[in-house]
Amino acid sequence: MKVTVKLFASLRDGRFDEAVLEVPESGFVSDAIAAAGLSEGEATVMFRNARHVLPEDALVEGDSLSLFPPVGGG
Amino acid sequence: MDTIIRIDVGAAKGPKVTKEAAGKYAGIGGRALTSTVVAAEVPPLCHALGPENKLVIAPGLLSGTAAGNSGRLSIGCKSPLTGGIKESNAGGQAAQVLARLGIAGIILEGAPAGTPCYLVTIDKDGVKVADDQSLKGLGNYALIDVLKKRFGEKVAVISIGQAGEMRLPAASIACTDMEMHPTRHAGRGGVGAVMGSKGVKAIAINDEGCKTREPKNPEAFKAANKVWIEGLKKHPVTGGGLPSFGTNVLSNIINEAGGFPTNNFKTGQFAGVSKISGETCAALETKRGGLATHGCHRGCVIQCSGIYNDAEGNYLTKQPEYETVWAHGANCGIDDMDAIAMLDRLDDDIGLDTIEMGATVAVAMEAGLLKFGDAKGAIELIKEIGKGTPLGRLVGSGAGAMGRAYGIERIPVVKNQAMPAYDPRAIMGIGVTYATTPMGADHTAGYAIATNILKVGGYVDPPQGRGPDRAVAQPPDRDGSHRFHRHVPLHRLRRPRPGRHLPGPHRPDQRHAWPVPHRRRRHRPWQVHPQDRARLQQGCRLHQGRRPPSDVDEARSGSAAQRDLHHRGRGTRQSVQLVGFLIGGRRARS
Ligand code: SF4
Repeated sequence: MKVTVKLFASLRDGRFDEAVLEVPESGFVSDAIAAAGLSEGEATVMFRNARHVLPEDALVEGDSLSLFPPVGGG
Repeated sequence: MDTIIRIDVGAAKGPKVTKEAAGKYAGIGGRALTSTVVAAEVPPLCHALGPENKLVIAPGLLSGTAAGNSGRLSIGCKSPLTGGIKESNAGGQAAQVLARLGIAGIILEGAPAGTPCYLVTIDKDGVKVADDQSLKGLGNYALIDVLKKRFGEKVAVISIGQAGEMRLPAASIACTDMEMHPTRHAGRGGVGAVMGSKGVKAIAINDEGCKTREPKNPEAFKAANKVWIEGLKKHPVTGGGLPSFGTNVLSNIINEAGGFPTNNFKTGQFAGVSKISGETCAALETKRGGLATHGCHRGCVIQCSGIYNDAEGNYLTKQPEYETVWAHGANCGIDDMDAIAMLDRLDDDIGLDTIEMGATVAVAMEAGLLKFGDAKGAIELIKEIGKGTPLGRLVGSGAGAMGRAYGIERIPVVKNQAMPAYDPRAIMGIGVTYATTPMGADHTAGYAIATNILKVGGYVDPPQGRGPDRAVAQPPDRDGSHRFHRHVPLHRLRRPRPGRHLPGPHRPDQRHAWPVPHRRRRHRPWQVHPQDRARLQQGCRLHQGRRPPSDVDEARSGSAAQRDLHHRGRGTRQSVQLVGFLIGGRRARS
């Protein structure tokens, strides 16, 4: 199945900003992270359709997954 | 750092400067010092622009030492915007320089006669106050140009622009950075108006001939500072995200979380976010020969700031902060980074809080004064403030004033201060901060974003708030827009107690999602006892044929005497007596 993966801040270096990636049917967030070429722990904040998720959470076709490294400010 | 400088601008023979030992304020600095002085010395009911209010300026306890990132300046007073205590914070050089001179705080007090324009100069030889009318009406940038010629590039300046001189509730106080640009502002709460009300235009501080403050135990200090600086450099936020992209790295993450208020808080995501994000801004700065990593004062380890050049490669402003980019960008539907940078420059020059200004322009957009996304119109509107036109003064009075002037219902303020860049409906923790701090909507009073969004220092899922924060969140209207509570009564903030006030079964999973109002059960002496109610109703002509009076009516109807009056029917002999009794005249009773 296909999910949209968006990368932000330093995760973009040498990768992409936004891409539609193929992950195994009934896959997990961790599968999409691997498909995006990120190593474990690189992304610390993940949103699936604007809600926080963890690597072990499930994905469904058409989900939008946003991955962030540690960031702060304000 | 043991001296407090008091400048009484209202003294009979012109401003009187007193140097005193820190005394009971010794051992505290920054926000603690400014708030303590305000709480102790400013009468809470005074007018914020009157002689009783005081403006307190203080460096941090470690400012002026070799400690990393120790250069923040705190400014406190009673706020003309919220009517409550206010603390506003700025970077820039001023804190380090003040501390090196041994100054723990500056307190401006009293009210001047006439309309002076004081320039305060502080150096190792002392404090001078001079009325310099030639500085009147200058914007911060022009003012600094003048002062640079007089004092050179080594001084640090704390100043106000035209907005502060006009005493507008959104006026800020500017501090110069390492390049002598007046770009670091104590923005919130109208502190600039209070400085203006004291007639002080600028404070120029020169620490020539002063040394870095020496610790009592140099070895221990050095060791601790090393750990501190290494920690800052090693942490991915302070050592990676902030230096590379600045605070504006937040635009994308807050947008992804649905908490990026857009078009005057109508939606929580902005379609044009990628054009104004920290990533885009940093790339643009580097391309144009500016700087994406830059500190706002000497000794800053994090270096979250930058230098933003215009398309021709000339300096325009510092790297706009996240809150500024949000306020003038997403909240106004503007996705043009150059326009946002120009608005930032104008705010800095005129001396305005960027958060309040973005929110005010957005309310003006909602009112139909200009269209969402109209960058040119927004720039013109801010320029009006510098000119001091009636419209400009209205804009400079903040979002609350603008909304009231145009009869707008949706005004995102708490205690009349504009909400900053985090929507409390998507990020409920920050809603608790807005609702509970005495300073009104102020994200620095409890930065719940760290745990709600960034997973720094813990994690709490933002939309799954419990208890009080549920009442802040309301489902969106059918058109997708959100409505603000005008007022959340206290009883609505309590969770319903299962089994007592809810009908039906009360297993936890069947509890109401939204708090239902408590019904008051306890009998209170000033209410009519239920046993007396029937008797009273018989004699109550006002309620014949209508619903019986409820507890609420009774509670509302005020004192026992008033209620009695109501229930006995008007026009009776007793009520005449009672009226007389209430107004305290003997005549009516005799
Ligand atoms: S540049 Fe950023 S991190 Fe450094 S002192 Fe200024 S505000 Fe703080």
